[in-house]
Amino acid sequence: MIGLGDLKLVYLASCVLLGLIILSPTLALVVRVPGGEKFSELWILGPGHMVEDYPHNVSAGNVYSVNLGIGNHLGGLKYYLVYVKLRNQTEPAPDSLNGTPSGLAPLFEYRVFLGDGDVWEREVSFSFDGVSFEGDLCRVSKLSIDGSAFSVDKVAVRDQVNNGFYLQLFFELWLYNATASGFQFHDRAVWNWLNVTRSM
Amino acid sequence: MRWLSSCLARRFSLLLLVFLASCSLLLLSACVRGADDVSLKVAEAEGKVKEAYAAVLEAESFGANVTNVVSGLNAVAVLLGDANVAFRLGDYGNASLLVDRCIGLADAVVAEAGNLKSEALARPNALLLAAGLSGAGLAVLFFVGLFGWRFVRSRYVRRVLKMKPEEAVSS
Repeated sequence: MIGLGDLKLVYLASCVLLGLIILSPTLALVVRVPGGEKFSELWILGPGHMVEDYPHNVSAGNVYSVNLGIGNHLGGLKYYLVYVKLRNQTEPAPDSLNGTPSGLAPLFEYRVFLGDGDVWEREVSFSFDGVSFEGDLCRVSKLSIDGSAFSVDKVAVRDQVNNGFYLQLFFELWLYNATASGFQFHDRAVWNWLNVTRSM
Repeated sequence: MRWLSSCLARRFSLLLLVFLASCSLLLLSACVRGADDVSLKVAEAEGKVKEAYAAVLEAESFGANVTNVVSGLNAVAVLLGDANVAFRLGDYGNASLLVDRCIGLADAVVAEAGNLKSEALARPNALLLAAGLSGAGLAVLFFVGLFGWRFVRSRYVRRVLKMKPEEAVSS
């Protein structure tokens, strides 16, 4: 048979366990378990929401689309801004090493508030107009994004290696900083190289 | 006579030139002023959206459920984005319209966030409630444990006393 000392120990342990169970709701509110890595996602997918069938060879008058997405894993409600820009091969791109955005003026923009763990995705449609070719140069004068037509006046020089006239449609992610009371480049950008071709 | 008519024609053309120049200057200044006005309104809307965001964050920090108000905040953000795009395209009329809607909606979001914060403040604090219940539970456990131990010990002693001594059998 169990001794009195051992019985006392078992009784005490049971009481401590019961005490912890009673305290657990309060402990859950007070003790903060460290979360995982904090980051934001930015992506573009093809028209079928897959990493395939991205528009590549584009021509004037045709409408193309990609799906733009943002994911928030920063641990709270955040205010995001995506700038849509267009550049040729010589114009500045966002610099991920220095964390600086492209110096080009934005054409279009998307603003969204996302809670922690939330994602946002929408289709971005675009088309080119006023495309002309002169020897090794291709001039694009208009880009329409989601139905809004912008004068862009971009000149693409023929890329001898890849054999085409390339323009890059890119998306920069900016995040609102409440302390600075303004948006700051969030060091994330995605892009799609487009080969401008003659209309069939 | 011919001299007079040519002189009048010259004066008329000069006056017409001055009139056209004044008109174009007036039009240009009106356009610039229109752009400036809309630019100021867009900046005001930007401020309102930031204010609405701060109000929602504050309500959330007091434990309010801000899911519905975040969708309102997103509607405001879309209007502001569209207004900026319209402004870049030089469509100041549309930009002004969108900005007005954006400001109105942002004010509504600020008011809603304020209501949610007040409701959250009126509710008993979850931490205080949990701490109070846990404290009461621990006190009950302490006293029940104390009396329970006396009961368990006396039962144990009774069982021990009821036991009969056994004689060891030597082989």
